[in-house]
Amino acid sequence: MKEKRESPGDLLQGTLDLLILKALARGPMHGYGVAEWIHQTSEDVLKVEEGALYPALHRLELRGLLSAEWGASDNNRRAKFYSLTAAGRKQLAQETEFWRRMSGAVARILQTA
Amino acid sequence: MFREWLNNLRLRLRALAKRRQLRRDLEEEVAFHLAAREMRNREAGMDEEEARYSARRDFGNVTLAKERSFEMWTFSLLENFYQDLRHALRVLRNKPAFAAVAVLTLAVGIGANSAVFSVVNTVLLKALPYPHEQRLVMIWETKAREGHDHNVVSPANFLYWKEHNTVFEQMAAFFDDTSTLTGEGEPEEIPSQGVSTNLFSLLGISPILGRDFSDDEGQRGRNHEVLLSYGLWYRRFGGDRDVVGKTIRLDAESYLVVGVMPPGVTLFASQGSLTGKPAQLWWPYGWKADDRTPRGRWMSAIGRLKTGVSVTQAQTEMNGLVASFTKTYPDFESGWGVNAVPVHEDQTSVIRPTLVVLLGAVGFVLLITCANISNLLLSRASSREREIAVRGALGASWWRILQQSLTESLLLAFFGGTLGILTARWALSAVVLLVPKTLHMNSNALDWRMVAFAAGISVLTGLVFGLAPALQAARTDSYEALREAGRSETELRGHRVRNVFAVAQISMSLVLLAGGGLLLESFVKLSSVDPGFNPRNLLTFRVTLPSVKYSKPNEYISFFQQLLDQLRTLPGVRAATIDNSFPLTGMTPGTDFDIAGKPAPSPGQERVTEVRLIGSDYFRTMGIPLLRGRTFSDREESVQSHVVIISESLARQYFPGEDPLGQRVRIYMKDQNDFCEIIGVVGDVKRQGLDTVAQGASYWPHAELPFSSMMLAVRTDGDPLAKLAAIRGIVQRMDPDLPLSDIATMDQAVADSVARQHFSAVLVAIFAGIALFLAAIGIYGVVAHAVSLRTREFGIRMALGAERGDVWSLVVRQGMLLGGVGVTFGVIGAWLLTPLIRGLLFGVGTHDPGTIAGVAAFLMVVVLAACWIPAHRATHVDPIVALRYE
Repeated sequence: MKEKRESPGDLLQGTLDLLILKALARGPMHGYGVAEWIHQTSEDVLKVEEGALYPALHRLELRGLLSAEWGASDNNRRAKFYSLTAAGRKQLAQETEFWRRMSGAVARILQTA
Repeated sequence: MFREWLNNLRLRLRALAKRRQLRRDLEEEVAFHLAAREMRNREAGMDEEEARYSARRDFGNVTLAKERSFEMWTFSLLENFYQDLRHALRVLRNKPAFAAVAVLTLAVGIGANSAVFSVVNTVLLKALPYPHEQRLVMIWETKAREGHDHNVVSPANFLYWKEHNTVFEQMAAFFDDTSTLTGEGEPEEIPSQGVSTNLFSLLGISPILGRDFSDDEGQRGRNHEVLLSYGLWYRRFGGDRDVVGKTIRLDAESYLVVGVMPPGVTLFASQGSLTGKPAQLWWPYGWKADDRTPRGRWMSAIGRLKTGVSVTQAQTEMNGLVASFTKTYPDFESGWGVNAVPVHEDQTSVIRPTLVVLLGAVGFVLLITCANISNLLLSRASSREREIAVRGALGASWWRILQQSLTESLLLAFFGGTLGILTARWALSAVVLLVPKTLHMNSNALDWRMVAFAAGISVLTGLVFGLAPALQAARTDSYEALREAGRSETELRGHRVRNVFAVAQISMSLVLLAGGGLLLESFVKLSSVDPGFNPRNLLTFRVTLPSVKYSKPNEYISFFQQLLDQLRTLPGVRAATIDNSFPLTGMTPGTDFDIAGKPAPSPGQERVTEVRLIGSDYFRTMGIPLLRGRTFSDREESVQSHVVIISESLARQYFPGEDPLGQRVRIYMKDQNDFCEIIGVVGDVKRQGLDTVAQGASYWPHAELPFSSMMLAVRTDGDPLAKLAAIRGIVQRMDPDLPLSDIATMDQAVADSVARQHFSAVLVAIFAGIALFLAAIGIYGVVAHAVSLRTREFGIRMALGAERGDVWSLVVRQGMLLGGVGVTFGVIGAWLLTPLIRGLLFGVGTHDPGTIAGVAAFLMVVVLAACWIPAHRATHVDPIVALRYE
């Protein structure tokens, strides 16, 4: 029998979605690029199991938050590029706002000794 | 939210067409990722091999990621189901014998249930075709002292109630009659109803053609209008729309057709029916001034409750009305009460207990079916344990395995249900022949309710019988199952469940067998009851003389005497006579009487007698023994002579310890009642049914009270119906306008009178037979499976010197143990449940020890027989082969 493992590492699914949206806010990017961006920007604090990225990308594409098209990569290989749709941008703004408030609140609570 | 869902659906639908491309794209996308990571790793200084492995490690489970991503684009629930379905079909195809047994068993279980449901639905559940049916209440008089709670009503009571009650919007009266239709076509006696003019507006029914009766048509002399039933209109008048406004001849008088009623609206109250047949036409009853004088009781009454008034309230008010009526007319009303019954309940009260018992019995059959198929699946599941273990090891979740297992069960249930509907249809044609005629259930057509019911119970049974095997499959421990070569824990656990099912099957079969046994015994006892006359080869029919043509009582007397004289000359006719109504067919008039020289009884304690009007040679024709005195002389047969013959029970009840012969009684049956001398005592006849007690009866010669409508009885050599044509010829020669109606044989009438008991006994016995068969298969399956599990053990035992007999008894003992436990629970179950059928039994107790012991012993014999083959197989195990087994 097999255990279910929906979420990569310790990351919550919602968090992964947010990171993907944020990565793509800078412009279209392929899956590998998204993974690299997360690694670099979080300075390897957030360990994403890279395979788990793909179901999340496809789910967001199906939800209409991302659109995808095939194009050529830097080294001229065919790659699938994802970009934010209008709905994706809206979702990112909402999520960002939510996280900001949330982390602010958590920080305040932790500060009160 | 909805837009997002719609978009999602659109994308997935589009993907449906390009599955292969989707897979390729995924491959490429992941391959690109791995290649890019590999390149980065090499740039970071790893060697080629390490770079590749590191990229893989970082990525995680490649297949899983691809599958998960792919699933996003599919309809996974549906697609899994489709896969499961294909798999299930394949499995069933590979085991055709198993599939056939399971589907046939299910078809029997579901078919039997659907057929019984269809009867229940038609008889008990279907609403009557009257708007406001819930507010319609039948009102009967009751006479507690004689156990009558559905007695017909006197017009005087009815009129009093109608005028004084405050609970009913309306009250209407009706009574069954017959009308002879002449004119075009053969003369025909048609069951009709005299009704108060408001009956149909009370029921809420309007004619489909023409109009209803108007109020003034209820006056005597004005009541020559008639409403036709849909069936009669279609049959006799070819559905001619112009029939309204035409005149037809009924009882040799002219009646104006005012309308045609919609199909199926006949209000038929069997307990109050004089004809026993639903009316096919209606005419308004013309009320007479002296209907207000309390006399005979012969009407049925119905009321429509005002909104918000309950049946209990109505009953209370009616009780009060009867009490005040009793004060005014103590002689007539003392001892009588009133009974208000909702019309639907009234129509189904007689048959309801029978149908409820049948429903219960057939439900048991379905449970046994489920247990049986569960066991079949379980035994197969243990041989498929490897397959399931492999699937588990390859990553199928327990939920998926459960799903797949249930899909298989549901597929079986689907096939079983489909075949079950066909079985039900076929069974219903057989059941309709058994259903008592009084239920007027003629249709064996499939209706959507039955199909829906069959579909419902198919799904339900599929889930029920599939649950245990599915849970067992889902709990399979892959590691254990794959490691072990021999018996596994799962297998043993499955075996315990199977034992429980086998025991349950035996218990339930015993309950059914006990019930079937008791009902059959009752039926046999009932059928062997002496009705007090000889029903063999006795043809009966009714001849009614229309009052226009035959107006004088003397004409009635001479007509019937001439008819009898001619009938007796027919070759093959042994005897013939007349009677106003025959045993077991319809109601019979009854009334009070006084005995000369004895004080009048106090009100409510009146002496009561049935009154029979008979022709010459009556007692010899009917085979009723003359116990004392003499029969009527020729003179007494033709001229009013004030003599009477009484029945044995009347003599015993009212002349205890005295000689009734020579005593004189005054029977209140006519306008002018004279004392009549008792000249003979004859044997009792069970008129109301074989299961009833004979009521006291008085016999008058037809001449004493000449009726114009009489039943004839003709005793023949051989089949009485063979003489019908000749008999009809004689009647038609005397008067071509006279129809023969209610043609029947007494044998048939006796059979009809026990049709209800026959119906329940035969059906429950059939169900018990099916149950027994399934239980035998069940126990056989369990024992055979146990033997196959222990083959190696038996081999060792025999190698170590055990005798064949030892092994044999080992197997049989196990089977008999299961059987014994099952029988014990069954006996307890029967003990608890058989009191529920008390009302259907006759002449046998609910806990009849003989019956229960008998079926218990019988069941043990069946269990023994079922163990025989596996036991035989066990004793023929070759030790060498057995040790090499597996």
